[in-house]
Amino acid sequence: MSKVDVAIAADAASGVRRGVSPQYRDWLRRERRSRLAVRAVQLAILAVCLVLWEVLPREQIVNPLFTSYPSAIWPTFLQMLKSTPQQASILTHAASTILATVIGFTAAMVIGTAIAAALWWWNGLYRVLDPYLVVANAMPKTAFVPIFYIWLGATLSIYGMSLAISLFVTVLMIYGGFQGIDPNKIKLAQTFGASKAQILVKVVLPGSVPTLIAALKVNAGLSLVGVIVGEFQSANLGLGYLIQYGGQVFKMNIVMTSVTILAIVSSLMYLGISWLEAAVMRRR
Amino acid sequence: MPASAAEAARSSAVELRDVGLRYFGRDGETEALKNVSLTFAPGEFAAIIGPSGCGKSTLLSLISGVIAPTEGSVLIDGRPVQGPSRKVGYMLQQDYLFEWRTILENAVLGAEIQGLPMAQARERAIQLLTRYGLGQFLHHLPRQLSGGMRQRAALARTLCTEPDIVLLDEPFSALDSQTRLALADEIGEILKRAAKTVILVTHDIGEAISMAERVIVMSRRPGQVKSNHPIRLAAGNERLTPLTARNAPEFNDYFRTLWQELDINVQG
Amino acid sequence: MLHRRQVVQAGLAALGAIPTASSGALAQQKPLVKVRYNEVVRSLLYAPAYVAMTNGYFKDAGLDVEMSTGNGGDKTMAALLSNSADIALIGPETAIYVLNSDSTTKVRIFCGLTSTDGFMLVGRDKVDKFEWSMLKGKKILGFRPGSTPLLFLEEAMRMNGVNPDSDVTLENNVAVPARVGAWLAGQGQYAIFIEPDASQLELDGKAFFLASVGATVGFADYTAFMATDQYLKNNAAVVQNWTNAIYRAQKWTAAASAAQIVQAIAGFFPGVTHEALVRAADRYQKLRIWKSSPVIEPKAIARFEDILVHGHVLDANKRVKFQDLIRTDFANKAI
Repeated sequence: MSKVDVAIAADAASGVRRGVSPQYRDWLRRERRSRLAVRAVQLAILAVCLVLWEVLPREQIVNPLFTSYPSAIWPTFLQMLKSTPQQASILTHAASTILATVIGFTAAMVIGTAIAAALWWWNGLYRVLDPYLVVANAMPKTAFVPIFYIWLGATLSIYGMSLAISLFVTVLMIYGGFQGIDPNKIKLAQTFGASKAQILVKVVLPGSVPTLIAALKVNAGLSLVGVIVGEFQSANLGLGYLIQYGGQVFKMNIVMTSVTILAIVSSLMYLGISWLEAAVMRRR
Repeated sequence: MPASAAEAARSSAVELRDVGLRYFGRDGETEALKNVSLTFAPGEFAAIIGPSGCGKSTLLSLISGVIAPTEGSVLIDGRPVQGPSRKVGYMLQQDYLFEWRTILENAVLGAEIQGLPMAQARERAIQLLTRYGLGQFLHHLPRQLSGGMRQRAALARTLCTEPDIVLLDEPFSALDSQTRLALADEIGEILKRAAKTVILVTHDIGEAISMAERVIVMSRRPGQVKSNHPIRLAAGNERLTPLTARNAPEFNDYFRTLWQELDINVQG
Repeated sequence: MLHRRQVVQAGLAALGAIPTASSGALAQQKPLVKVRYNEVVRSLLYAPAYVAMTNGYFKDAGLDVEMSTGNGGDKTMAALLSNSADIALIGPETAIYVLNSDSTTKVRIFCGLTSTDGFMLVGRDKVDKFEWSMLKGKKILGFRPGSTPLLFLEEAMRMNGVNPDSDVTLENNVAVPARVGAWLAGQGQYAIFIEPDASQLELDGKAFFLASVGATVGFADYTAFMATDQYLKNNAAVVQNWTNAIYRAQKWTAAASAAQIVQAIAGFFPGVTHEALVRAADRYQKLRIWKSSPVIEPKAIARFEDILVHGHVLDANKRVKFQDLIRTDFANKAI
């Protein structure tokens, strides 16, 4: 049964009469074709890239030392799954990076929201801190990697980087969201005699959920960057460490495999957040 | 007329004594209200009309306790207003239902904030919503309802906390004219039957005449009380609804009088 | 008669006394050849190279050297392979990796410089007779995983009955610029430091010399000059002149005093105290870490590959043959 037939049957069952004119069928067909065309082009782009990546180094047009091959990734991955005294399994490395990232952006969300709430609560505090926050946000935190290293030591500097890189933008985004709440909703709560705390908890925070999700998306990406950059500097565990190590010993296949895993990890993270967003927005 | 100020205080639900309000800004101060003195008896249904910017909404905010007057005092049941009171319900221009709460959850918002016993509040909310035709939509989200339905939900929210005094700030202005008439009908009936003290602010003269027992006219800024018109429409033995009131013979006379009083200068 | 002869003799003597640079310049009617030279890191281990620059040996050989510091074996090798550098000074392990890879461009070593590892093992207390077994159960500041300083240290331990995987705790994730700071902050009970860091720490009383990793491991060329096959083919004369200049510098360095060496190269180490440089130079000279000839021995390369295999960065069946890795003709012709 085509989608249209299923739709007609469903309508009949629910007692709704829907016209299924030939024009509508045509339109549905055109829609489906257009969707398929987009998918086809997307897959074609991916295929072309993979083919070029495989063929150019093999034909020695590009130095394979610099690029490795897509066909080397799966065997390398299988090899890296094993754990040796010198090198932990790639899963352990991935877990280390993921853990640091999750801790980083979770801390940034919690601390960022708390700071934004404090700024909302005490307008004087906001007015005093505003220029500092703007500057702190504008500064590239990756410039601080060596300083963090000296202050916090090897492991903590990675967590510190993961937090710092996303904290300020989180504060500014969430505070902006708080300020953007319809003042009439706040007035409404006030007419019932709501205290400031009640307004924060019943109006401002729930009303800011879309902003919180947007901030989470930004954070997750930034924290991952912070962790990788921190691992480049000083780590013996993690995907960033593997990328750097692979480069040092000229095993580009290790680098490419780690980068591939990294791409998968970040995609999964975004998918997770999108799923969360859909679940939350359904209720609004 | 009451014999003394004390008597007046006891028998009035709401009293404004020589109230003035100024707004302060970097560019200077604006006088929104000046020397406003009004008394509203318990159970009375009064309407306030006036040109745009005359401060009529501000009056409601003062009565609800959300802002404080710069001069004069506001009293509820003889006591000065210190902040929002449980006795006052305020229906704003739009429903401002929280999109993340269901209709029922929105309706009990006021009760939640005021810390009222929630089981009874929920009961009352369900009764009110059902009475207003929203019984099937208790667990729907506001975005699934039409404008008229949402405003009715807002009314349920306002009445769920059982206020004695209900303030209506142009509650129908965001709706299309058919809905407006129908809703004004319903809400007017509901409030009169519940014998609440109602103060309606509107820019619609017809609405004021058809719903209220008394229409107060405000001047343009700085808002002052210009005049006070008791409304008597020939009733026969029936109570007039806002819809049928428009057919009363006196309607047009009142309309003309109030229109002239409003001094709306379109060319100005 | 006598008067004229004396004048002529004086003139000849004077001509003979003209410094080598200008005599070189007189001989050079052609312009100097530009060589883009990339050293993996700035280090006292490469003193003869700096001597060649200061004393004008490169210029005498007709070379205008433009030096850059890569700060990493992979970066310097990448510069060489991508033709941003003509001659590079890197550890032989990078050349071995490249030879084992599918790289279209191959790299060969043509001139040696450092005979073995130049790191010193230090501790926090003075020890009368150091035994490597004293490291058991202790925390040691190591180096980046996969790097030759760490590989050589682990080899030195293994040679003395200490298992680097189980008998000690190696802290290998300290960033290179931060290692001295970490030691001063109290991290680790032992550590390896390059010169002149080791000497400076000793002079400040913050560390005590225990052993030279290089002396313990033995001769295994640690860094050498290399270039791509293509460059060696097209610029054989330049490469030979380079090797000649280096040999000249190596001879001078072997004969000079530590103070003279430091005078020649101090300009390349701003911020390092004179005493530390002199102490370090003296040590390197005595340990013969600066080669006195550009020739590289097969035994040394075999030892080097042993260390890579023991450290699991090279598979035993992927060892590179000496003649594939080293081009001996240039060094042999120079001496």
